[in-house]
Amino acid sequence: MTVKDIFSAVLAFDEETVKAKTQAELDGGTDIGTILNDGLISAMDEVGERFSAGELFVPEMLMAAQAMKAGLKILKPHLSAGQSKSKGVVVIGTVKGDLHDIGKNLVSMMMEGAGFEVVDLGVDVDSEKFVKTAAEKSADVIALSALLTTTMPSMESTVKAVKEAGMATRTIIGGAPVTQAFADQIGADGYSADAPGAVKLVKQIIS
Amino acid sequence: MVFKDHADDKDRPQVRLLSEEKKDRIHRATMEVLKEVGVRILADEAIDLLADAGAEIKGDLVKIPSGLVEKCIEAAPSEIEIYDRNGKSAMNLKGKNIHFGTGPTIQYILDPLTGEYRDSSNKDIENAARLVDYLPNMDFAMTMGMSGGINPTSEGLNPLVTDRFDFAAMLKNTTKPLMFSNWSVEGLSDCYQMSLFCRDEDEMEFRKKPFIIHYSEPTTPLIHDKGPLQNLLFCADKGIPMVYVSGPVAGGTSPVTLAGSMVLSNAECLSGIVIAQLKKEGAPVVYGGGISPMDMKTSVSYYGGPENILSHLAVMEMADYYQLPDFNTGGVSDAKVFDQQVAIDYTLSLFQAAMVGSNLIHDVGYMASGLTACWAGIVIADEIIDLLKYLIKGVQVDETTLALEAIKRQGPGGGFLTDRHTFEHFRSLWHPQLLDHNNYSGWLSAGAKNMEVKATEKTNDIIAKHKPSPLNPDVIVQINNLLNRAREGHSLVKLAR
Repeated sequence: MTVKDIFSAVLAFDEETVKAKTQAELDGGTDIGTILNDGLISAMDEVGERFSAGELFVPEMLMAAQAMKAGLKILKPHLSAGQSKSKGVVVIGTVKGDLHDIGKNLVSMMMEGAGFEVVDLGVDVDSEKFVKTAAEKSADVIALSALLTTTMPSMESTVKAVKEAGMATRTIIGGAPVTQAFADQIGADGYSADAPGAVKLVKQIIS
Repeated sequence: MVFKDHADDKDRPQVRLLSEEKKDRIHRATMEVLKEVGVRILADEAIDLLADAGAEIKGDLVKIPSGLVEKCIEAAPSEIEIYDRNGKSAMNLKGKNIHFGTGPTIQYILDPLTGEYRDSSNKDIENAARLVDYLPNMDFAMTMGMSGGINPTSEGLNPLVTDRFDFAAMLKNTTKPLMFSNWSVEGLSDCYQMSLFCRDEDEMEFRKKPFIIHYSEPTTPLIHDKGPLQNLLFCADKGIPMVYVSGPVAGGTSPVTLAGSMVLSNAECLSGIVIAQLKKEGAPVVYGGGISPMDMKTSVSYYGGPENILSHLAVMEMADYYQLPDFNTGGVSDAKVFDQQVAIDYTLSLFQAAMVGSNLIHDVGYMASGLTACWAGIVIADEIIDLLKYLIKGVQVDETTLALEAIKRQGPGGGFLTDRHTFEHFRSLWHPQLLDHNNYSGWLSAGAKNMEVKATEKTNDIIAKHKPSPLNPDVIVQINNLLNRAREGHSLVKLAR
């Protein structure tokens, strides 16, 4: 029985085994940081890489993320202040006027899986709410999603509002019609075409 | 007698062109042609067989009564099991079971490595067979080339014996079933002999598990030439499954109207089946008829018109009517370069063949109206076929697929991406290998390759890496000895005389 089993169980999308193995490692006195980083988080890194390589499908990635979160839930009460400190805080939402959330949810789950604290504001979120929440949570990144070309201007106004508020928080955008060129045009700090790409992007921005 | 369609799989999408009444009319018109016009038979043994069975003989013109034709259609098997070179079951020619393969005797090849047009060669036959061997949706191999190209004498090969070299090139490079042609019954006998080498020279074992299908043609209109007839009789005698199907050129060798061309090709195919059954009752014969119209501006007989689609659908419906295994055409194009027309022609013709459900769909990889072999086209066709196999499974409606539980779980505004029903069943979606479903930026970051580039890369990769399961070394020696005997027995010196 090793931490490697937790890693394998996440990659086998096996939530029950992840829970059981995590509990067993915890009870056995294994270092909690090791369980977290070598078991759960590194498994999700692997999932992200396999997905980007075209080896995993979206539902598999999500199942892995769910399994990982179930393990994390068991660890959480035992994490020290240092260990429980997330890799960063991401405020995410679908912009004003847009009710589409599949892509946003996907990014949200992947980010959680990668060890970020994610504050998901849901859909139809106005720029004031993004700015206010980011300030409250001292967010590192605000992630904006849109599916409709008609709601893409809400991204621009949100990015502008963040800048006007004088915050250090960076903005990233994504969604089917969104492009790198559009991101550059509205002054966003980053763009990704898919969920694992968004996770990589946030890692780059924070480091 | 009453002929009737096979019952269909319940989920399979249906295509129906001819009503039962139209099929009856085509059948009756065909019987009238065979009884009143007759066919020319240019082999004595076949004439004798027909005379004994009650046909009316005047010289080489034979008029066949309807009762005899119908009796022989009934005698022919509705199902033929084809095995692979190793004796493993490979193709069940029956009903709407679909199988795909390449095509015969092509003069030119579009070389995937160099991009050049050049004469085809024995080496090309080997490589095309290896491609078929590798690709999961290719079920049988035909030559896709000619040993020695159009001028085999330049390679010291008598044109009369190239059929043995064509056959051996395939035999050595794929375990999948082979469909082949011969220039003489001696050539057929040699190819049969090479097949027997793979069955320990046991004729009964070959009969039980045939892995080769002979292909020859009557001559439209209404002539059975000596060579093809001798081949037909040889196959019937040895239990070699055979396709004996004519290729009428509508407006040239047959009536310009599709129904008229169908009557003619039906008469030719059915009279061939009669001869085969008279030689040996139950002889395994495959029904078909590939009508190509003549382009009345250029006189080219083309493959990619709506007439080709319609006539193939109609002929295959006649095969179901007679309850005979059938032979169709798909993955063919008239395009001279590997362009968008290839994709249009391939997709339409393969769609036609898959929808109607033909047992042997040949000519996959043809370009330039059958003059040029396009290997990258075979690779693309393999993908199209994969898609079509999914499509003809239709829509399954049952408790699992209705997903009521999942709908209730998620309700309004819920999401299915994380529902366990999705996780359990998303693998039932079709996943392309070559077709690109990605977004623009994803496509750019994957190398921004178009279909031609991807297909050509895959083709060259297969040719470079795929190693087919080898023949037993003793069998290779036997084959090579036979080839040497054929070459020496038909020396170029003899040819010069």
